[in-house]
Amino acid sequence: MPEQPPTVDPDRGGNPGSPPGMPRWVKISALAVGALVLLFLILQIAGIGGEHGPGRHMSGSAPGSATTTDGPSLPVRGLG
Amino acid sequence: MPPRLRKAVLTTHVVSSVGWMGAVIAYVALDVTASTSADADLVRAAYLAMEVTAVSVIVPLAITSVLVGIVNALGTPWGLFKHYWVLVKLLLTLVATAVLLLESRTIRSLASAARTVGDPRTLPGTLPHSIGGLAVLLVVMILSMYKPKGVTRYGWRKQRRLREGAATSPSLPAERGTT
Repeated sequence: MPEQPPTVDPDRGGNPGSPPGMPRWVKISALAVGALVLLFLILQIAGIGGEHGPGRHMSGSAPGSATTTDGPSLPVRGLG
Repeated sequence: MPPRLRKAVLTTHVVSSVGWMGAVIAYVALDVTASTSADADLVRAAYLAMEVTAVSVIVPLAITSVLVGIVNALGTPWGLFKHYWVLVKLLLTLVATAVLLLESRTIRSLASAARTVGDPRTLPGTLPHSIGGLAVLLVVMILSMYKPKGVTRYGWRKQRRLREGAATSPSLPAERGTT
């Protein structure tokens, strides 16, 4: 396990005069995350995923919600 | 950063990060119980334990891990923005912490509802968040262990400046450290 950073990065392709490109593992991970976000958005727009997102944690009332005194409204299990 | 302080910071970072992950695994077990059990008393107890675990253990460990991790990265040659794996790890940890802080409000509300509601089995669980959070922490852990190669443009410029400086003054001490 490398415990110190390499002094020369092999991803640079052996050209010390040019800045490095983005490594393949970063590109693949970014594509995977983008695909997951897209899938999530499609599910939300289609209404399949139910209520979600930061708005779920804000105060408010919704049909089928359990009211509490100190927090956001909670959807009842089985209703969304 | 002096070697002794660096070791102390690194140890704190590892302990808080591993503790965060372990606490999330315990939380997932409680969450599964709250979401699937048919025993109302057990479900109520699970919601209350979820609140204690999240508020008293997971949130403090997460905040400690993020803050100490930033100090640790800045105090070593790895830096915070020089290597892609450190940058990705930072982004994932910040996102996980932000979602955790938002979700902790819901967890508190669920525990509050579980105390008063007649049948706590009607309350929703937080499984998608807890399993998603655990997956993110696993990725962070793997990044920390494997440290995949890749220097950012900023890191490359820093390395070049360092090499140029070393070429002009060969008596500079070598960089040491880990993150």
